[in-house]
Amino acid sequence: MSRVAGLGAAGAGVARRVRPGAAATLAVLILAALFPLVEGGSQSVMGLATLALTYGLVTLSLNLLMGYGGQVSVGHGGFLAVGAYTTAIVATHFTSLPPIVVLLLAGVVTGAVGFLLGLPAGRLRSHYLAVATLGFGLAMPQIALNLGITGGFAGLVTPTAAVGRFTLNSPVPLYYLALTVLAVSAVAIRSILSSPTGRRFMAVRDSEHTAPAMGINPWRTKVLLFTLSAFFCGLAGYVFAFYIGVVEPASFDFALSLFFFAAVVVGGMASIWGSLIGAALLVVVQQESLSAQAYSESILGVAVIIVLLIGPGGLAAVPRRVAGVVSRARARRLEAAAEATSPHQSPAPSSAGTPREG
Amino acid sequence: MTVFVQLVVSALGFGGIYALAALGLTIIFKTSNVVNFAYGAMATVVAMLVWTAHASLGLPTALAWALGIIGGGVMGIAVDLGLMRRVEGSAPLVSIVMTIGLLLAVEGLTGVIWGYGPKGIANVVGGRSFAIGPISVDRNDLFVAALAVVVAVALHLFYERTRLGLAVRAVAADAETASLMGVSRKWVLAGSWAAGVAVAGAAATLAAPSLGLTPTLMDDAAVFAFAAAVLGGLGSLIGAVVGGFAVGILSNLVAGYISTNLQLTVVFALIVVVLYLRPQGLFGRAAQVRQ
Amino acid sequence: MLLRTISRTSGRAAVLTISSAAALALAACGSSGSSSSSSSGGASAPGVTSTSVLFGQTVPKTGPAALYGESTAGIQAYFDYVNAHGGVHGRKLKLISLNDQYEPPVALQATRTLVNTDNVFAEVGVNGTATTEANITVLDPANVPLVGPQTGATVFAGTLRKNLYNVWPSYLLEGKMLGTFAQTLHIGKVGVLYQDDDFGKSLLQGVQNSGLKPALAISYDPTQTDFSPQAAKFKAAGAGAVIILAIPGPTTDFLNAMNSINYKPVRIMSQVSAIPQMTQTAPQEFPGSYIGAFIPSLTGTVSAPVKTFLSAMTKYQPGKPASVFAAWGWTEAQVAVAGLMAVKGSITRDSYEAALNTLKNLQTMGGTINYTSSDHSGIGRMFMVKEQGGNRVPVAG
Repeated sequence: MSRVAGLGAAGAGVARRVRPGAAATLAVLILAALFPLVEGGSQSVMGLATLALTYGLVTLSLNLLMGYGGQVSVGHGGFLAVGAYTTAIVATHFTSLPPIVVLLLAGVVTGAVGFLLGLPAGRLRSHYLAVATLGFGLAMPQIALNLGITGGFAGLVTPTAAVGRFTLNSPVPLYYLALTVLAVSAVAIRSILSSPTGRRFMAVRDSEHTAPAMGINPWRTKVLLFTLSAFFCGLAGYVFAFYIGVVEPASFDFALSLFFFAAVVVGGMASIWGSLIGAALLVVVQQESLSAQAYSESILGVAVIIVLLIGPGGLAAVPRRVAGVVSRARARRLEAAAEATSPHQSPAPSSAGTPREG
Repeated sequence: MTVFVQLVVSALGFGGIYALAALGLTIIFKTSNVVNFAYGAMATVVAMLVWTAHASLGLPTALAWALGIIGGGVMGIAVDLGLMRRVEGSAPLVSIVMTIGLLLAVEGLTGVIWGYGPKGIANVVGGRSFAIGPISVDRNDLFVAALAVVVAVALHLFYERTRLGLAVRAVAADAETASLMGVSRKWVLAGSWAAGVAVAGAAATLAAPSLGLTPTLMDDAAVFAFAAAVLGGLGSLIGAVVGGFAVGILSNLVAGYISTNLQLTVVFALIVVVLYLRPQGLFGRAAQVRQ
Repeated sequence: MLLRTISRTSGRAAVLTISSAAALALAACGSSGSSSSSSSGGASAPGVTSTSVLFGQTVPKTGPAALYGESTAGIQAYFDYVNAHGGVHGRKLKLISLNDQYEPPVALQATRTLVNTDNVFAEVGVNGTATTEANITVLDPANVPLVGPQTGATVFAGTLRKNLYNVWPSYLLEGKMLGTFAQTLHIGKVGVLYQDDDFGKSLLQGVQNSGLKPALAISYDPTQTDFSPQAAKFKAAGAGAVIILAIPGPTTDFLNAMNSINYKPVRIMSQVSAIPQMTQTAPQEFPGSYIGAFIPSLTGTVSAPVKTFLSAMTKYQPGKPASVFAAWGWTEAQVAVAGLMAVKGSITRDSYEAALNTLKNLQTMGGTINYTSSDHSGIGRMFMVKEQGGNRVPVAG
């Protein structure tokens, strides 16, 4: 099938994969907001949920770049590192800044780094782009290791911050912070995607060669994509800095970037919900595998393989596949009924066949 | 000057390993456009098989190697037919993430089966290094470097001069027409995976004596191998060889003259610069970029 | 219109909502188990019942650092040994060990699980510097004791923490010993290869504290595979001895790289650098190396404490290697248990810490421990050994 854009093609049809609609989204949000009332006493569950939300935002930012933009990044851990380090450095040196300012700074600085990366990366495609982003992801922790301002190997302790009387360094307020940042970012990304800018992204993703004919400059669009993706990842970095408590190079290894890369595809490309669910699933699987000792690594790998074998379109495509199966079954019943009444007609080919993705 | 020459000469060993590993990547890439993240882990399994056959079962070296390589080939075929075929109708990215899952699964299972303690495995070519003036030359390094070139040449001849090689290229170019001519796409792909893993497995087994044989043996080397393949231009045999040696020599020179702890960063930065100037890599075809 | 939209999408939406709720519920269910309270206080401390005391550990079990995971077997063997002799205060010792994959964020979550869900009483033998730092962000606020972090980094060894008890000698101490030893060899030029992180730099600081002025100190990146540049530089500088402050993998690589260029200086290495397998993986350059140690030799003629360790490993952890990593675990467990034995009255975290503070002249397999309320330093003495024929032979001085 099409190898268009090498690795990034997802097809416009994919974007319509799942749109739960406003009511369901609200329901989930309410559930999420009430969650700490049930589990707030358990730091472990709160921590896990916060991690799922934070990684969900990173995965979402990566999906913006890959699923909607058709680019590739195997180094998003690097952006997370920039966001987290910016947070720690700014909060340490400028203690009077309100958290929202630090949050936005984390996003902006990371976005600027994304812009710089996008300049050369915008000229690259597929595997070549993958190598460039891979290098970026590996280089960020190494640079952090060697700079004084980043605290070298010991890293920086994230200072205490508070919003009102809630200290962000404690589990329940941090959870709400993560939820808020994620929700706002998701809404923002959604509106970007439905704006003309968003259509530009998808135009470049689907057909880079004809985009100029529509007055779109592919390179500029890609640079913007990297900038935006990095910005949102930087916001996640702010939350992450509080989550881990100490920002150090060891927290941002290559395995982390691979994790996000896998989460995007496992969850479903070009799907906001897919990213969140994909990240959450992998976080939970990883957590549950910790007691499996030496089998932990394999368990996570097998989980990824199984999810992809069952549904190559990712988890977000599952409802549609289920709907597809249901409607195919229904169609078959109708055909059988039709055949019974009119045996000379050749049966129509089942058109609700496996949807081709990408 | 001496240091410079020594750095280059010493780089031949790992350069050869990166070149071999990049060649293996190229073999797979020529037919299936898949980046195999599990590559290093599968290559390590080959090295483990060789070790088991030789050190644990006491078989002679040559036989151990043969068994390991064949085992690797079988593993490659199994992975291709069992997993990759199932997702090939979906987006290419799905295949790639499948290999990420495979990386975790294979590396994890290697750890469970063989344990994490490093195992000793002898160099294929032993003996002390000999000196050319003030420069030391390691015999095994020379062997590995030469082997990489030999394998590249052999592959080139295979693809260009044999009927089977022609068939493989046909499948890569146009699978439908190829099948009309009786060439089975399925087996060409599986065979490519087998060959790719076998070559990479050889690279891992050659690297194991220096690094110590552990399940994570190729973790870091695989990153360099991938960078090398891309730098040389994906799909290009000569690119894989040149890329491999270039990365090996470059990282040594960076470590020697610029910084030992920013080696990775500088090497990748240089690769990005090259790609910026030449997006298809050194020897890649410009048409490749459009894929 | 809105209603139709809702009903058309509500099917998928419902599936999604349910699945996302299910994902989080799964996490909650799997984790909550029997606990809804994470509070201490009350009659008994968390992790302590009338029949058992529960310890926790996070350690890498997979990945490049998985060798350190062998320490679990050592801890477990000691616990089993003590249990077989009646336990402590009539209670059996139990251990939960989780795989932290040597990654701080995973270690953080693992510690939370141990403290909040599994309700461990204390932690023992947590591995690594960055990962231990992640652990203590959870341990400190809850005042959970940690005995024997497997690191000698100054961030722990040099700073007093109420709930953290060092067992390992500090890296400063070890580095100083290595530097002092190098000077006794009267070799003109000494080079130092160090890992570019807390571990390597703390050791380097220790070496410099000994008064040794290295002719050349080169770092390396942990992901490096080809060490020929470093080897070439030391050779070109004419270093007659090289002090190696690295973990086993890179050490092996460096030794082999030196061999490739026919360079064989005197080799001095940290106790973390050397593992027995190196006689096979670096056969030319490992034998004859000088190694710092606090764990006595585990092969050849062994002392009585080591005999106890070895036979316990065979009996209680058959099939698990009785390696230096297991020996670390055993030693750390010895300290943890000694503290528990010294508790008078009910066992709480506070009384445990008070008891630990009273430990004087505690003889462990790795050395002597002395704690006070203002000094939680680890073992204060190390010695040099020489690798010969697969055995570590003590070196005088």
